[in-house]
Formats: sequence, C-alpha cells, structure tokens
Amino acid sequence: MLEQLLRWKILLGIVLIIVLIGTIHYTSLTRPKISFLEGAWRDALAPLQLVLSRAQRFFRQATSVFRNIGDLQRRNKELETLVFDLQQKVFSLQNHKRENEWLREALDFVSDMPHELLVAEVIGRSPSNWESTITINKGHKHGVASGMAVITNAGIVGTVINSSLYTSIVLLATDSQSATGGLVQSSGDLVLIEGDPSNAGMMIATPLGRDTEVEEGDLIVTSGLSRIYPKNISVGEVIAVEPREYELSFAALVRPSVNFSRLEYVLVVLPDG
Amino acid sequence: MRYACYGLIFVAALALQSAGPPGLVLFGVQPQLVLLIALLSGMIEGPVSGAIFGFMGGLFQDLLTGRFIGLGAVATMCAALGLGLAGRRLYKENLLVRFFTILGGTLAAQLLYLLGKAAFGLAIPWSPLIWKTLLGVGLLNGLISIVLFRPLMFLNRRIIYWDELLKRTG
Repeated sequence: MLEQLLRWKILLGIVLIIVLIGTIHYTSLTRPKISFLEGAWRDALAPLQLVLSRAQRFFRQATSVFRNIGDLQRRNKELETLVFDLQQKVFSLQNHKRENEWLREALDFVSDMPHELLVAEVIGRSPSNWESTITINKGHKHGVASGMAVITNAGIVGTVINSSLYTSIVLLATDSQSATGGLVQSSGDLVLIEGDPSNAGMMIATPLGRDTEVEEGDLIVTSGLSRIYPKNISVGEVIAVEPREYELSFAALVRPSVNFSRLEYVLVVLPDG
Repeated sequence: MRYACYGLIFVAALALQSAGPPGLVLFGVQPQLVLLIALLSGMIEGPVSGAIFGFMGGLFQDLLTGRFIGLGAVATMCAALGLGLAGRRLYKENLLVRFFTILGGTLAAQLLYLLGKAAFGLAIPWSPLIWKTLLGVGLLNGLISIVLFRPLMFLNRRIIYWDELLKRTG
C-alpha cells in the first residue's frame, strides 16, 4: 500500500515538473494573447495598484511643493522665456505649414492621416527589477491590443505586449528586448534603437547604413517604417557616440525624451479606421 | 485559513511592489517584497511552509508579469526552502544573522531566476549593472527584513492562533 502511494507520488511529481517546464517554456515567448487566469488576476489586482499609485503620486506632489519652491521660481522664469521663443516658432511653423499644404496640393500628395489616440493612466510597473514594463488601465474592452504604440507628448514610451480585459502591459522602449526604427533628425539617416542592457533607462542607436552620421546632441525621431509608431515622434537625444570593435561601426547612447520614472498618463496609438 | 491569510499578505506586498512608477524604489533598486516575505516565512515557519508560501508568492508575481510563469515560483520556493533548512541551525534572533541570511536568500533566488531565464533561451547580458542590481536588491531586502521580521512573526503567531480557534470551534 505504502509502496503504491509512493509510486503515485513520484509519478505525480514527474507530471507536475513536466507541466511546470512546459508552462515556463510556453510563456518564455512573447504572446499576443494571455490566458484567462492571467487576465483575471491582473484585472483583480488593477484597482489596488491604481489606488496605491495615486496615493504615491499624491504624496510625492504634496511634498515636492515644499521641497522645490526655489526651483519652481527659477523654472517659472525659464519657462516664460521659453514660451516667448516658442510663440515665435509657432508663427513661423504656421507659415511653413500653409506653404507645405499648398505644395502638397500642387504635387497631388496624400497627406498623413492623423492617428486616433486613447488616453490611459499608468497604474503599475513590473514587480521585477529585470523587466522594464508598465501597466495601463486600458485593455481589450477599450480597443487596445498587442503591438500598439504608446507615446506621450514628449516622445515614445513603448509598445503594448499583451492586454487583459481592463489592463495592458507596455514594454518600455528602454527594455533590452525592445527595438524601434529611428531616424537621425539632422541627417535623415536610419538607425535601430534598442534598450541599453548596460545603462538602466538609456537606449542605444546602431546605424542601419554604412555612411550613417550621428553626433552628440542629435535628436532621434521615429522613422515610421515599422508601422508601429507614427512618423517623427521624438525618441531621444544622442549623448555619446562610441566606436564598436575595429571601429567599423558605432553605437550612440541615447537619452530618452520621456522621463519614465514620472509617467502618469500615456497615449495609445489606435490603428487607423 | 493560514494559506488565505498569507495569500492576502502576498497580494498586498505584490500591489505595493508593482505600484508606480516610480513606486517603491530605494537606492535605485526595487525591493522584492514578495520574495522577502516568502524568505521570512521560511525562516519563521520552517522549510515546508517556506517552500509552499514561496511557490505561492512567486506564482502570484509570475502571473502578473506574464512571462516565464512558474520560474519565479520555483526560484522563490527553492530559496525559501533553503532558508528554512538553514534557519534550523541559525540563531534567528541576531540582527546580523538575519540580515546576511536574507541577503543570501535574495541573491540566490534572483540568480536562480536569471539562470532559469538564460536556460529557457533569453540572452542575459551579464553586465556590471546586473551584478550591481543583484547586490542592491539583496542589501535592501536584508535591511527591510530587520524591520519586518518581528511584525511578521507576531502576525504569524496570530494567524496560527486564529487557525487553531477556527478548527476547534468549527
């Protein structure tokens, strides 16, 4: 009897180990759809995450006013000057826009359709130190699906990797698993932007062509070739250019335009139509 | 009852750990509260309970992350089991012993998780940043354990008491 029970236990143990290995292997790949259990678990935890995230934000904002009063005054003066400069630029850009529209009409160009954007609140981030992801409070129910781009007014944030009914997980552009097509704004050369595994929160731009030129201070924007991100959205600024082995190529260190540690609201780019 | 109570503790820890960004970040790293509670439960309750709670907490976290489901559970379970076994021979009342045991347990669990990921085909760049993060999380969990050990021990005693009371009264 005891022997039989032991045999069953061993057999059950082996089956459990096989199931566990199978589950780890299956979930090691990026899946556009998650299981019902994962979705339900995530949706159940979302309200608690939302409350804690808001409480933390409230506490941070409440204390920051007292901590940064001197900084705020200085920043206010800087912003007033910046607003004046930007107003001048807006007038100039409006003229350029009008001119551009005339030329497009004259050349019979089809103008880019504006994308529909969905505002989402950031309610959580990865519980682990080894993945750079955030959780947003919009899911299948709101039309969000895997592969959609997520941006802010400052620049790109990342792409949706999977969604439950009410939440979605966004892989940040700074994660080493993330790759985005970019364009050096000054030269128009194409680069590949990936998360830097050696510098937390930074990105690396590698050239796609042989004659690509990148310099410190260059602004990188999305190329629009991947069809995930709309064209010309800011990615970041080049802060260093390092030659690779045998100096045949280079890698540019890019500081993201978005401050990922202060994300509160993001925009999900919904597909046209 | 005991498992339900620990389940609720894990849910609260997980919600706190994953709220943000930036959320709970100390010295540039995110403390691993779920892992810490699993390790402490192994230390307080012994290897078997530690392994069960470790697996439960790890699985909760894996389900939220959505990748390598089961790996975090196994890594946390192994570390809590190891700590439960080692805890029998250690003087847990000593602050330094507790600090270094949790530091070791955290390092072991995180390293096991990364090695598991590498075994399942994910390229892990073993850069200085990874080692710095590993050590940072270990130190932070060790420090938090000094504060958290006594309240968790008290809570554990209460849970056992309620559990017994419920069993006797039906």
